[in-house]
Amino acid sequence: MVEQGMKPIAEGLFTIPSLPGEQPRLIGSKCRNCGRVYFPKEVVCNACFQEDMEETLLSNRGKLYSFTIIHQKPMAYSGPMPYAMGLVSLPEGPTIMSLLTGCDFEKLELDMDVELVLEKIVEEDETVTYKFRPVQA
Amino acid sequence: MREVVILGIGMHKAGEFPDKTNLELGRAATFGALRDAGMEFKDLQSAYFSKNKADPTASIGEMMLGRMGLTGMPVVNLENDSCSGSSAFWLAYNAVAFGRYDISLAVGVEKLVLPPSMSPPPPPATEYEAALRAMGIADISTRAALAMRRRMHDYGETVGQFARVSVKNHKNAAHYPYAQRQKEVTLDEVLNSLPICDPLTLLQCCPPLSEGCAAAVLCSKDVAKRYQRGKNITVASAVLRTASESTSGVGLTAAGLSKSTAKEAYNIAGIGIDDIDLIELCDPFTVNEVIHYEDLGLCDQGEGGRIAGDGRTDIGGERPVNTDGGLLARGHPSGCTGLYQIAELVLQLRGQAGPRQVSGAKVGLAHLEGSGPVATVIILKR
Ligand SMILES: [Zn+2]
Repeated sequence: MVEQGMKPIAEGLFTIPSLPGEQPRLIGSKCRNCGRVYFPKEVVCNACFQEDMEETLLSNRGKLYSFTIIHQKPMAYSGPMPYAMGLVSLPEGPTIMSLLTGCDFEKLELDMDVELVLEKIVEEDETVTYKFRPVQA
Repeated sequence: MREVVILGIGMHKAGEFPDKTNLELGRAATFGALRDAGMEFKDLQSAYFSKNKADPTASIGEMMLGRMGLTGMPVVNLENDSCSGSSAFWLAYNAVAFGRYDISLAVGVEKLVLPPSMSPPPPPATEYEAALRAMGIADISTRAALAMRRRMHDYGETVGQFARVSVKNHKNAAHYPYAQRQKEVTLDEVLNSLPICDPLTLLQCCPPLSEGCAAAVLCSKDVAKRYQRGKNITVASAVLRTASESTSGVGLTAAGLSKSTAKEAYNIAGIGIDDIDLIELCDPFTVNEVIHYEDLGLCDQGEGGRIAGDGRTDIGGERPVNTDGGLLARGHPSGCTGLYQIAELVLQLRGQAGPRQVSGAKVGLAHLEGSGPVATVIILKR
């Protein structure tokens, strides 16, 4: 999993565990006025127009709302082909566009439970990102 | 508000034209629209110019139109993703409807500045956007695939129903000389074309590269009498909206924005879906046409796939959709797609659509939705 020296794909998207057994979490923001939760973090709540947000850590488990297997390589991507991505709904409300990992493409199913992990995109590169993988039964 | 009519339309064919300049494309459509209106360039009082989002040229509209004639009229350049051309139309419409000018031009050009292999992608707007690109999950084609799979799960739709939209739209475009793709395709060809992102295949996507130009001349009803050219087409409503509620996630399968935009356009025009004879709608991918059937009121939520398969949106069906081939086959030069839609509705309402003619067409609707999100709905009647 995550080792020393790895760098996050972007600042402020997720926490990197420092203790054994600690889980990574996505970092969102929650409106203190209406309770709406955003990922990635927002400054203004576009539902109630208030500028009163607090940082919040999101659940590291969600449900797979939909998925696709990508067969054509996008320009900025240098990972393995083909690969799976999905849209994950979290209990707090946000849906997260994410790479999927640790899965047999054939066994992906809508609404299955998935959990957050941190992984590299490319083996040779230090950069880590968030991904979701099916929860082992 | 004053009644506004469309006096003229002009188009250049959609496609790839490496040997043509911006100016050549723009001139073809602008002069075409003026000829159609029975007008001269100097009659124009204001112009709204929509363009390709990748074109960095400053004030390209002033430059292009200035080389057709220096009249001193105001010119505004705009970019509004897929709604660029329809936004130019919306501005031209407002300018005349609210009495600021009598005659306005809406013109859109899409010209790729560099070949795509040499053209760097636009810089990401945020660090998060950059991260999505590096993860390989930023392409809009993936959103279409995610929506397809979710709809197949929720509504029992089939890949064949989505593919049927592509077969229909290619068939329509085969009869339209300005379309980019003028070759019919079979269901098997659509299903077996290159896999993009499962279950989306290449022939369920609009052409990746499209250039073109389309224009419309709008005029107040009174002033239009000076240029009488037979049947005038009236703008019954032109609405542009952005999101008013968050649709995170759900937005994949039910575009609330298009629904609210259509509702406002129907209200202003004082009509409903039953009064509409034909529709041009936003189909960058087959699934979008199915979703927008529901947004525009052709059917209930979850029934879009079924009506795509049963022929009622074919030419000759109950309410034909994308009679010129839509984004899928006419092409999607985003700087002017909305004006191609207007041109097709005008041809249909005038009874000039040849083999694509919807018999007795009196009212037509044009719809687009783009990143932002932004949506436009324009209703025309004769
Ligand atoms: Zn709020």
